[in-house]
Amino acid sequence: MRLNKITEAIPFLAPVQILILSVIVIPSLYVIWLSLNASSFGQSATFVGLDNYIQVLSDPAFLRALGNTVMIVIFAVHLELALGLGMALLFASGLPGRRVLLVAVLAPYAVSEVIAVAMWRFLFDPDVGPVTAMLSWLGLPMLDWSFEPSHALIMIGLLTIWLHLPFTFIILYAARLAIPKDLYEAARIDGATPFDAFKKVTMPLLGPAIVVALLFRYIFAFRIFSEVWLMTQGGPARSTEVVAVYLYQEAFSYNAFGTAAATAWIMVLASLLLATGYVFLLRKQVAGNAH
Amino acid sequence: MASLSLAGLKKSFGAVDVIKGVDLEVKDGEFVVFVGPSGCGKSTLLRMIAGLEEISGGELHIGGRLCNDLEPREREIAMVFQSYALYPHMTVYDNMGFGLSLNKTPKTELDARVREAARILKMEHLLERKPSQLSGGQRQRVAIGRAIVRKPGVFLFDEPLSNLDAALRVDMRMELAKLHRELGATMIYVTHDQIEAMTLADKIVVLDGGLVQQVGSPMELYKNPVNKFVAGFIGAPKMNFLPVKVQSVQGDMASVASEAMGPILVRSRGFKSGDSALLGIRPQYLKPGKAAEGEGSIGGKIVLVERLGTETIIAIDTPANERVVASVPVDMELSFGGTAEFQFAPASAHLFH
Ligand SMILES: Nc1ncnc2c1ncn2[C@@H]1O[C@H](COP(=O)(O)OP(=O)(O)OP(=O)(O)O)[C@@H](O)[C@H]1O
Ligand SMILES: [Mg+2]
Repeated sequence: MRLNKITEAIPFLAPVQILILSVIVIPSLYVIWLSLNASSFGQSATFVGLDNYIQVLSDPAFLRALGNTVMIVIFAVHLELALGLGMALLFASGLPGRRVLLVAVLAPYAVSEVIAVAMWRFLFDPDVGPVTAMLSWLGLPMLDWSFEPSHALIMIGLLTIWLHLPFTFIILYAARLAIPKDLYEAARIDGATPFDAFKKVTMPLLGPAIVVALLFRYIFAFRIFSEVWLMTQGGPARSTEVVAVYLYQEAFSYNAFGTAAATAWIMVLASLLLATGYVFLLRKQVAGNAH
Repeated sequence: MASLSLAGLKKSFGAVDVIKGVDLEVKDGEFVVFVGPSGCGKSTLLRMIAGLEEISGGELHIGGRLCNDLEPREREIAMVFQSYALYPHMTVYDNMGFGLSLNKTPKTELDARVREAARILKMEHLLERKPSQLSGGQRQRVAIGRAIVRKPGVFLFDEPLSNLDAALRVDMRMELAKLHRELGATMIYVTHDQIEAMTLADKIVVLDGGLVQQVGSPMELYKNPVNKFVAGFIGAPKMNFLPVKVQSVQGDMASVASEAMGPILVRSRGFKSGDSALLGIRPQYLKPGKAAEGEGSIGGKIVLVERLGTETIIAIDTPANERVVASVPVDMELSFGGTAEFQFAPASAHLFH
């Protein structure tokens, strides 16, 4: 059967449309509507225009949460990328016992965040944690994360790296394995040192994979919630809040749905901005490397 | 330009000996072809010369220098891979200039050498393209160009044409021969295609089981194979091998015969009276017709006739039930199930173990 007009095709596509509409579009529109109203339990919504947005953006707690989030994103994602890349190259260079190590490296991805945090809280416990004990035995300062906000943020950053390293690693490792071995042999014949080969062959060919890994990780890291919530609940004194925790507090501690919805949209817009920027970069690079 | 000398070269992967002691001299400017069945160690030997595979034993000299422990870049060689191994993210120009840019050759010289190579290979118009925008044949040219640009003492090729279609392969083969004449460089070429070996080589090295079976010019190998392996490997259709008995030996000539064939005199090659041997006869040396006095003769029932245009391949079963293949230049009136008779000059036959 040939479908001549688009209208004839619509019934066949409709289920998909309806699904997307009901699952994504309608809730999103509802959140937009919510973000333009002041609303709480037992109180009918009143339209306030962009007041919620203005209120959120000028709230010092939000700005601190945003600052914390950006710090975690920048610190954690880039350190994680460097670690993941280093490990991918190490694995690809023919590390002995690769299979067992691969399982060990990927394991954190299978661990629930709740268990991971419980584990880390125990390991880094300021009084009895084995890691704390080891750090002090080595003469290093301990991480006083339950008391000192900057220490808590470092802890959260390390935890989120630990949890997500498998993701970054596996993307880069797969991409590295996809580079044919004979390119490295050709490079050796051409006179490339291992460092030349890394710079001129490995890095350009891993480019697209690095961009993809970064894109996903920026967006995931920007939405960071459970690590913070389970570790510090944003405390002490809201000093370690991140944007998602701020949102949660607004919505469920202060029942301010309007500002919570506005925060959500600010997050979405920030993520979209990041994603667009990266997809743009990616396109440019892939077009540049067309192969 | 460089000569090469391999002395007792060995290679083992763990407990497996792949190259078991290869001795070979390659003169400056020679075109040497390694042939042999799959898995005989051709690529391994080439990669040992290139420096991509460590040498387990013996000595490798390139241009008089001991090269066993030198990095590939220090050996003044260039290699063309079967898979081309072009850098996918670089243009053709950058692919060809990569080696020179690594050793900090001045831009103007790099440019001149890349353009010169592109001119030789007639691909000046492709310089700005990426490998993905090239056909297989063009990629192969770039891979060869990358080797030319480096002006190596020795070119190494590992089955460079095997990914091309038949027609292109013939073209590229002729171009490689021309390139060798123009550059006058030493070239070592691995193939399992014996036509490539016969047409390109100054010297063919037949390898089997990690050992050199014979070294010689194409016609030497064709006319005087030293053993059954070389005899069977070089030439198409394959040489016929007939079991015979040595009846008597006089000087270096032996009289041999079998059930299906009367006695003839061939070179004895160390066989003694009473020995069993195999008599090798090339299909091309079998001529239709009755044998004259002193000539060999084989006849039998025709089981296969293939007319290829330039030649006709005929297979017969002798009364002793041996399959014999003949290649005759004319289209004979023959029919399946009939009989045919062939004669051959004893001088063109060889005895093998
Ligand atoms: N890295 C390796 N480890 C173990 N064995 C190897 C290795 N490389 C090659 N071999 C073995 O060495 C032998 C020779 O291999 P090689 O690639 O030199 O064969 P070849 O003559 O080039 O064959 P082909 O015509 O199929 O390319 C083979 O039996 C192969 O299995
Ligand atoms: Mg091979």
